[in-house]
Amino acid sequence: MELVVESLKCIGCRVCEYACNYHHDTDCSAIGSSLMLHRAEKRDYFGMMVKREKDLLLARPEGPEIVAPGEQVEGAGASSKPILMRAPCDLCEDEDEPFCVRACPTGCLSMVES
Amino acid sequence: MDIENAYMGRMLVVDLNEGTCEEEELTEEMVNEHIGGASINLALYKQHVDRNPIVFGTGLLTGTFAPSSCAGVVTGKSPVTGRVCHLPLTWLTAVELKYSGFDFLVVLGESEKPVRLWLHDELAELADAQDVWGKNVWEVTDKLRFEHGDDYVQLIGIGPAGEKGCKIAQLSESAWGSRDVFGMGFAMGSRKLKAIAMRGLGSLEVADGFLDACVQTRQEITKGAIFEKQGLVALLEALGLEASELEAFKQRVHRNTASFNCAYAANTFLMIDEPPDLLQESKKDEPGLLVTDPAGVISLAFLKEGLPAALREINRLGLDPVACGAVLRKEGLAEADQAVRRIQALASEGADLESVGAENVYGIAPWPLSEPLEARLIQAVSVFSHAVPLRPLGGEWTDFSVGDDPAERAQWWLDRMAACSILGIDPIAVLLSPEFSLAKMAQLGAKATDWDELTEEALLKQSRRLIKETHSLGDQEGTVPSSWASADLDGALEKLRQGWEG
Repeated sequence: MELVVESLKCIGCRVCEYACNYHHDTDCSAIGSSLMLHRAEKRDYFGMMVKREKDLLLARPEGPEIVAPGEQVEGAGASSKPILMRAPCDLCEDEDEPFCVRACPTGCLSMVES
Repeated sequence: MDIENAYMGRMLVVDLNEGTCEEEELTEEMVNEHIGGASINLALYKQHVDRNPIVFGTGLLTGTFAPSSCAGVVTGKSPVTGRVCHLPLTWLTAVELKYSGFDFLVVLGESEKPVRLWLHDELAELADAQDVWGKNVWEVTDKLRFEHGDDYVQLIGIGPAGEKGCKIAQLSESAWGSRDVFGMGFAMGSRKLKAIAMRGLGSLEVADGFLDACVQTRQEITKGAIFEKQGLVALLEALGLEASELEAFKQRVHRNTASFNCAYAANTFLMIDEPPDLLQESKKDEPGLLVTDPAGVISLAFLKEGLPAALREINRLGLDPVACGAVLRKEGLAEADQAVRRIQALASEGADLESVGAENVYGIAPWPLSEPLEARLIQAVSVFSHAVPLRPLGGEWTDFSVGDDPAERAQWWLDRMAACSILGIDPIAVLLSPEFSLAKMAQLGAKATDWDELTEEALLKQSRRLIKETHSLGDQEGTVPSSWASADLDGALEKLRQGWEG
C-alpha cells in the first residue's frame, strides 16, 4: 500500500501533521511529523511534503514530484528544511489506517495499492 | 482534570510602561473556575483593569485534535464603543500562541516608543520596533518571518492606520484581516505595540481515545450541513448577497483554505494579477489576497470588480473593511482606483467615521442585510464580534432547533459564541454545523482533559456568566444606530438580561 496525496483536495488545515506526530510521539504537536504543509502564503501556493524512507514526495498543486536525497528543490525556503530531518513515514505500521488519512477532512490523503 | 492535555500552563504579563515581561503560572484552579479562553481573558482583564489591559487568550481545546479548534480570543475595552469586547482569532494565529508556550498574554499600559513582542519556545522578548514602524501589514509580516527564519511565524499586528491613530484601524492576523470591528488595531497603535510574532514547537499530552472521538465528530460534521461545500462564496450565498454582487467575487476565486483543523475551508484566496486557475506558483510576490471575513466582503460588495484590489489595500494598511465600506458608500466612490486612493487617504489621515460624516457603524457589522430584530438585539448586547454572521449558516434556524422568538435567537447566537470563545472553536464552524452542538463541544472538552464535571450544563452556565459579566462592563450600554431604536428592541433586551439573572 502507498500513501497518495491529491493536492487540489487539500485545504491546508494541517491536522494531518499533528495526527502523524501523534503516531511518532503520542502527543499533539507538529514537530515530529513525516508530513509538512509547504505554503507560499501570499501566492496561495500550497501542498504537502511527505518524508518517505528513500525520498521526499512533494505533492504540488500541478502534480506530484519525487525528490531524491540531496537534490535541490526550486522554491524551497527556510521552513521547508525541517522535513529532511524528520522520521520517514512508515504508514503507521500496526494501525488499520494511517492517522493522517483518518484525520484528513477532505480525502486529500488516501491509501492505494502500490 | 489533566491540564497538560489542554494548556502549556504558562501566562505572560507584558508591562509596556516598564518594558518588562513577567511569566505567571496558569493554575488548575483557574481552569477549574473559568474553563478557558474568553472566561479566563475576562478574569485577567478585571484583575488588571486599572492598566487598561488587552488580553490575548487561547481556548481549552485550541490547537488540539478537536474539530475546528483554531480559535483564540482578544479581550479589551473597545476604544470606539467604550465597551469590553471579545474578538475571535482564527487562521493559525491562536494555535501558534499556545504552542509558543503561552496560553494567555496580558498587555498592560502603553509604551513611549514603538515595540514588538516575539514569543517562541517558552521565551518572550520585547524589542524596539523602529525597524518596522511605518511598514504596512504585509511588509512587517514578511520582515519578521524572514528575520525569525520561518514562514510559519504568525503575527497579530497593525498597519499604518493603527500607528496613525485611525479609529477604524483593525488588528491583523499575519497578512490578513481579522474580525475586529471594535477598533482594537487603534488600541494596539495607541500603546505603540506594532506586532506580536509567535512561533512555537511545544506539545500537548493527549488523553486515551481523544483522537478517535475527534475523528468521529469530524466525520459527523463533514457528512452534515457542510457536505461537499467550501469557501466564502457559499457563506455569502447563505447570507443573501445578491448574485450580481457576488459574480465578480466568484470570478477571482483561486483556492479555498481552512483555518487550523477546520473541516470547512472558510477562507478564500482571490487572484487579482494572475489567472484564477493558475496551478503553478506565481512569479509575482503579491498576486492576490486571502479573504477571511465575509462582513468585509458584504460591506464592500458594491465595488464589484474593484472589491479585491480595495480589500488588498485595506489589509495592507490594517483597516476595518466594514468601516471602509461605510465611508466609500457615503462618498459615492464605486470605482476601484478612486476607492483605493480614498482608502490610502483614510489610513494616512488617521480618519474616523465622525469626521467623514459616515453612518456610525463602530462595532456594527452589515448582517444580515435586512437587520431583523435578533440581529439588532445581539449588537445591542455588544459582547462578541459582530463580524461573525448573526445567524445560522448551515441551514435555517429550525435546523438548529431554534424558534422564531428574536430573544431566543439572539441567546442561541450569544451562547454559541461564548462557548466557542471559551473552548477555542471556530465561530463560523458552529454556525455551519447543527451536528456540532454545545453538548458535543463539552463532551470533547471533557474527553480531552479527563474532566467529568465539564458537562453541557457547566459550559452553558459559564457561557451565560461570561455574557452577563462582559455586558455589564465598559463605559456605556451597547450602541446601535439611532434608526434601530424601538420599544421592541428595549423589551427584548430586558428579556435577555432577565434570562441571565436566572
